[in-house]
Amino acid sequence: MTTPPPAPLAAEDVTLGYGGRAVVHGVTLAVDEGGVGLIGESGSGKTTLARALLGLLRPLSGRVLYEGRDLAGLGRRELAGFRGAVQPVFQDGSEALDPRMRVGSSIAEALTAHHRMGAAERKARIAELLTDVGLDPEHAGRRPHQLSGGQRQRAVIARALAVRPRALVLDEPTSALDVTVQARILDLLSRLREEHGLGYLLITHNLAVVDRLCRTSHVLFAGRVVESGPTRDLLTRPAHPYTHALRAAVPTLARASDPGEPDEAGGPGGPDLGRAVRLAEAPAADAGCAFRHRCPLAIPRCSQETPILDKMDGRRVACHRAEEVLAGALRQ
Amino acid sequence: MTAVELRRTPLRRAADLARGDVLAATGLAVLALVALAALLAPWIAPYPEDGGTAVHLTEALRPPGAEHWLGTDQVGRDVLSRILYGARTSLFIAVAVLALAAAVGVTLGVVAGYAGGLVRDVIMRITDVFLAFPALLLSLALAVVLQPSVTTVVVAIAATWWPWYARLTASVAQSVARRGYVDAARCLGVPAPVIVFRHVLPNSLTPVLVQLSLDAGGVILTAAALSYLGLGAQEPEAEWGLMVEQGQSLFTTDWWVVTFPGLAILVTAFAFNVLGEGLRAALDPRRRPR
Repeated sequence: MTTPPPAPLAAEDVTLGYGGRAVVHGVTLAVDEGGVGLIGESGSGKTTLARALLGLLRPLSGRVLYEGRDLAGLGRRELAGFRGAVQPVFQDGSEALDPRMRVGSSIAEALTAHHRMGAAERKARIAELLTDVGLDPEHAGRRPHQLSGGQRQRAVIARALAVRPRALVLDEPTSALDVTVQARILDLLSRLREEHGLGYLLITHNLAVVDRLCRTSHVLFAGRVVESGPTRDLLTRPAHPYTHALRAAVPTLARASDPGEPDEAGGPGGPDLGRAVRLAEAPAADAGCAFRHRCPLAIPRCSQETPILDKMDGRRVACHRAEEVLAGALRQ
Repeated sequence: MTAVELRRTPLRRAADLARGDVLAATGLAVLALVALAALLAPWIAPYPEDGGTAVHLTEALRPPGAEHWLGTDQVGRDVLSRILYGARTSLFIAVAVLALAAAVGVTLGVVAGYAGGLVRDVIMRITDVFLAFPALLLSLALAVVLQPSVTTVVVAIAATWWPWYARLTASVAQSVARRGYVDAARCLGVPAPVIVFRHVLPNSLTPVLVQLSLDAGGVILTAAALSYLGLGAQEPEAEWGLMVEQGQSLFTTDWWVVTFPGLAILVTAFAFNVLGEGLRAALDPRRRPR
């Protein structure tokens, strides 16, 4: 048996923080072409993790790996290779594009970042990229504020593709958009992955988005992965009470992907929604499970002993009562 | 939106702006007149020689009238002519001081704001040292050390004004540096100096330009103060502040000697102010006419 080629992008026991205070604790994940989802409420540390994977933030400990090599140890040329291989797509297209630059100039900046390119070739490539993401070549002459939210996000994707990357880090790529526009951007991302063989790290609080694009998912709570495994399993049969609460907070998804268990969430806006929204406010615990303050299944053990990620039922979960959750303890 | 609308020239945009913002357009028009007066002073001044060394003691302190629209001063020079020549001095000082102070302050500020950390701390502490001295006192000290002249005034004022631009630019640049497009450029591997001058600087300039315009009036006043203290423009050079100083003792008897140069300062400073307000609105890319 040969070892599989290393994933283009991976985090290995990464701890992150600002000013020495950790906000993300020991996260391990690998981005592959199946798509990896990172699910969490705002404040859970997912954007911090994205910045580390993009090489914008140095880990306090642990390693960010590009093709199996530590980012911190890369030389100039290798770092340039990484820059050309991993690209971000941020939440808000109006922030991600320089408001003073025309869309064409923003894309040209990406095109010429690593290669010399004549004006004619550049123009042709810009038109090609814009067409590829469903825009008109004429949009190159527009400024970001002259585009709609969906068009801006397409332009951001076009810029990311300009360097022919191997992986995209998508940080809430559709959260700022209308639902119908969201769906079309997801279609686009799905098609582009097929055509370009891209690895996706998709960061979101929206489970429906992960369901569309990611084979594997990690659920982040208070800076720790509390459950990870095949997205389908996580969504249909969550083993962590937090995953369960998140799923219950998205009633449309629960029904679409889970027709066998109708309305267990108590309908749209049911009590679980409120709970999921309050989750991020849970105080960070020194010892014990960070989720115990919100957990309907919390027992004394949960405040004494921090649960660790353990293999169970084809996934990993950090919960003392995961078996009971799987068995349906949260169904009523 | 049509293609025609997209091919808007800056001139067309300025015209649109003038239609939308009457006050700013008025400010700009007044400043254009002042600039024109400065440029054409030798040709449009009724008594061009009065801008310099001329003395007509028999004509001294004539009230405004047909021959001297704004009257004459203690040595009989035409006040209107001297105001026109004074526009040259005052505008030159304002532009030179602001250009110098902004060049130094904005460059240091944008670097500090983008780099952060130690670089920012060092630059900002140096800035703080300059700000620790009262501005006028520092200008005075410098002006005393150097020869009294217009150049001295420029250097002395610029030395005390640049820290404000450094501080302003640093704080704006720091927030601009956190925007998505800066991160995107970093992820593309664009070198830091290019990011600073291509993305951070242009997006940090709006408040600086507004501040420059608002400050221009203050520079003219400070220059006048230095001239008043004998450290700046020297007689017989025409300078508004110097004219005010020379005329102030005559205010109760010969009011025109001090009033008209004072009005010139007031109107010019006010024009800079309303222009600054208009610029702030116009330079916000989201508020550009579509």
